[in-house]
Amino acid sequence: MQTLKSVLKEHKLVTILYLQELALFLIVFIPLAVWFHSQISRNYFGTTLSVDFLFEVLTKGGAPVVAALFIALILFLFILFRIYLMGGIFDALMGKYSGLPRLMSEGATNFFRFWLLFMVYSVPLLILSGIVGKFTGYLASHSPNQAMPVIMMIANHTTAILLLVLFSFWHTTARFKTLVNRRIKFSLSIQGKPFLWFAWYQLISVTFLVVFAGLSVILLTRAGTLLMIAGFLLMQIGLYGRNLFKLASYKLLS
Amino acid sequence: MKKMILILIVASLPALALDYNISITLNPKGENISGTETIVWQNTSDTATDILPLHLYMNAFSNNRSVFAVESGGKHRGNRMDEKETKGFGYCKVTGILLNGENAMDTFRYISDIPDAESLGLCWKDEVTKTIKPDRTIGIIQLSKPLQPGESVTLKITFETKFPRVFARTGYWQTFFMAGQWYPKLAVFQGAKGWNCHLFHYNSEFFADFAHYTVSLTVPQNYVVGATGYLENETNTGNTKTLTFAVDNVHDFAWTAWDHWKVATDTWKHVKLFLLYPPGHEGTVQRQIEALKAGLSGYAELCGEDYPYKKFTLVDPPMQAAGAGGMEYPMLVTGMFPSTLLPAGVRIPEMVIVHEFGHNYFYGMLASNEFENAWMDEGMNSFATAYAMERHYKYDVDFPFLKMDGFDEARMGFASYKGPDFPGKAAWEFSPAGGYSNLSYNKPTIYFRTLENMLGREKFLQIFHTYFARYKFKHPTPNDFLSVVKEIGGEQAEDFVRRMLYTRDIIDYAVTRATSRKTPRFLGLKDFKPIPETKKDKKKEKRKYENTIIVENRGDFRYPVTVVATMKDGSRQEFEWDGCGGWHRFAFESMSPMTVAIVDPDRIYACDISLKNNAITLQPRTGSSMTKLALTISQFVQMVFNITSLSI
Ligand SMILES: [Zn+2]
Repeated sequence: MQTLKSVLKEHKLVTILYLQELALFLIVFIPLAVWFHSQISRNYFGTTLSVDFLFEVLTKGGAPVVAALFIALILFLFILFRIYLMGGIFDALMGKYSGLPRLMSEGATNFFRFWLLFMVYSVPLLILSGIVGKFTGYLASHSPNQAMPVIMMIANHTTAILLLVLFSFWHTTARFKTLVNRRIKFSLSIQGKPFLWFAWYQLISVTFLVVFAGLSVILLTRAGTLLMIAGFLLMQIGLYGRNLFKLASYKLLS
Repeated sequence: MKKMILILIVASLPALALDYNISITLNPKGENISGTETIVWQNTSDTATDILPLHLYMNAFSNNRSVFAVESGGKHRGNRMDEKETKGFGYCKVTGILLNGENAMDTFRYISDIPDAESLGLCWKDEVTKTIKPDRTIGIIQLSKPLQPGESVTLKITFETKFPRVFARTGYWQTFFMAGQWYPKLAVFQGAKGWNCHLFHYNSEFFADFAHYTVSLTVPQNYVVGATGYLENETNTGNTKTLTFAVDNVHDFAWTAWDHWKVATDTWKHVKLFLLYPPGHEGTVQRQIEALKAGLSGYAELCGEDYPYKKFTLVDPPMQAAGAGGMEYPMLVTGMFPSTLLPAGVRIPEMVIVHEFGHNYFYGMLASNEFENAWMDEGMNSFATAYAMERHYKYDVDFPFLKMDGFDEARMGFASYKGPDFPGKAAWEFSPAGGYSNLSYNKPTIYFRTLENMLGREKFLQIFHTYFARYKFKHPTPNDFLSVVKEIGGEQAEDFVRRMLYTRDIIDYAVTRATSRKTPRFLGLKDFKPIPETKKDKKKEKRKYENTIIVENRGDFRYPVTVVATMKDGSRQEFEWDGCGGWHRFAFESMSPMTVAIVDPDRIYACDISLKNNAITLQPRTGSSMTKLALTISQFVQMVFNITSLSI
């Protein structure tokens, strides 16, 4: 109960994170919607929409390449900006101040150290997940049993999530230590109780996303404007809830 | 009744002039087989011959300089031939030849070892570059005296075949074996035209005479075997067992052996069905059997006759041996089930099964020359696949938000083709830059669908029924098919198919202008007398809409087409245009404004190369779908980004 309250207390910070995700949505949605609408106006696909639209219009010319480059660029900026925001949010989580302007300026001060920490923790994580992937891949491809790839995929994903939680724990602890000490400080130590709570919150946060995204997809595959809006809202609620629990898990370590 | 028909089919066949009796032992550790083969061949033509050419297809994988290896660049359907590891190479080595009982090994030579091989008249002149060497996919036995018409010859060949690591349809993976094109195989003698015997080309499939086969396979005791033909006998000796299969009227023999195979059986009418699947695929058995039955009934409807053999084996290879998947042999084909997680709405495995089964009609029983006319097998069969899939499943891809049938896939594939080729070419005559599969599979599929729409299903089926009934087991040529099309479908139908095969002619109708505006109020002198307009007149006058539609025929065929205009109040106006003169204008009045002008609304011309220009929409109706599509993609990006930033 106590912890749940603390989760809800952080809703202002969560809103900032969520707004970033909403901005991302708009940056992708607006050009896509404009492009799609422009492609149906006045032609056959404005009357009858079939899969031909995908192949005859959307994948024509350099469209897929442009889209991929656009997405890659957005992803890069998204991650940079998130690290920047987190620089301020962590200070706020420690109760040092409130208010958006202060948050933004602290974000700028902490940005470089947070960026470095992100690199330091994400590189070994990627390498480790790669090794796990190779290993499970090897087992999957050498067994006559065709159920093996599925079993190995589950094993691979489970390990990846556990690794991710573990690294996220170290990464987050290091971010707090960095702020307290005003210099880069690494962390590999695990204290049982905080870690378990941290892992628990992280898992809830991911579950939020998965469940709501799933529901949203189910609604979006049906026809109807109302269902479309409902699908959109569900997804956004999922994202908000996910960030709420994520920040709560961080708060636990402050 | 059905049995009677079967007996009649078999009785009506010419006596077989070719007999294979093969006896081999599988050595799993060495990934090879060795044994003997007795070929009895009678020269039923009216021309003598002094050579016997043998296909040794497996030698395509014996080095990186074979015609196959060079043409493919070491790749087949996305699978790589591993050049660095020679253990993965394969070959078929002839170690002894007895010709009518006498040693003839010293007269045997590989084609690329013969200096003036072209004088043998086997391959086409431009078929092979002289720089490609050594290719050992053809072996020639020189006869001491010519074999006269009516005479027979008995060849006893001892041979060893080493399988490549599964690549291009055949090979091994661990203890799994898929044996296709694994034995020395006699070429086809066409009398005065000589031997029809081509090198093994990357794009090419096969051509052979119908024969009687007796094949004895000796495999380790714990192996499960699937093969062409009927199991006649099984004997056990210590650690091994010998299975003997025999069958009449097939032109190839394939088998598979694996100690992990699981077997499911079922029946369809008179046919006993076997499914060999790997452990872990238990959950897919029902889907695979259903697909096989969909193929059996779909092709019976299209070709007018049930599959005549009493046995059929479907092999579902393990994914590690995916290169063996999706291949046809008489009475045995390999399917492909990429993952047990594949949703039921993605019917790729079903499509592959229907397609490969279907080859038993075009490749198996009609057996045209696939070297030279791939479309007669792959093209007709791809159409038939889409036809049978549509009859049973309706769609190949079937989700609430995405539906796609085989004809959609083929049209979009073909629409992407910009090259200079057409289907009526030999496999190796296609530009190496690509186009072979698009033209051999996709183009005939949508052009035949167009023909079906133009003629009506009944008449169209009559063409296929007649063609199959007349030419089964007779190796028909393109002209045989065209003559049936002309006989039943008429001259225009024949012209359409001919141009599909030998030209780049396309169909493309387009609406290039559509306008709808209120008839302007009359201004001017009525009967040259100025009459002041009264208010009453204004009110009374209900102004109509003036509509114009301009349609163009941008394609090469002058066929009539329907043009439909839909008005805002739901009313419709239908017009016919003969398709001649390049373009045509339709003008008409309506009470409600026109919202859509569309040419060929029922998609009779399924091969229309561009759908986009088939209509002009004055008021788009698909706007909300577009918003939804954009929404779905944006939310997906949102979700992926959120997961990517999991620990930030
Ligand atoms: Zn095929």
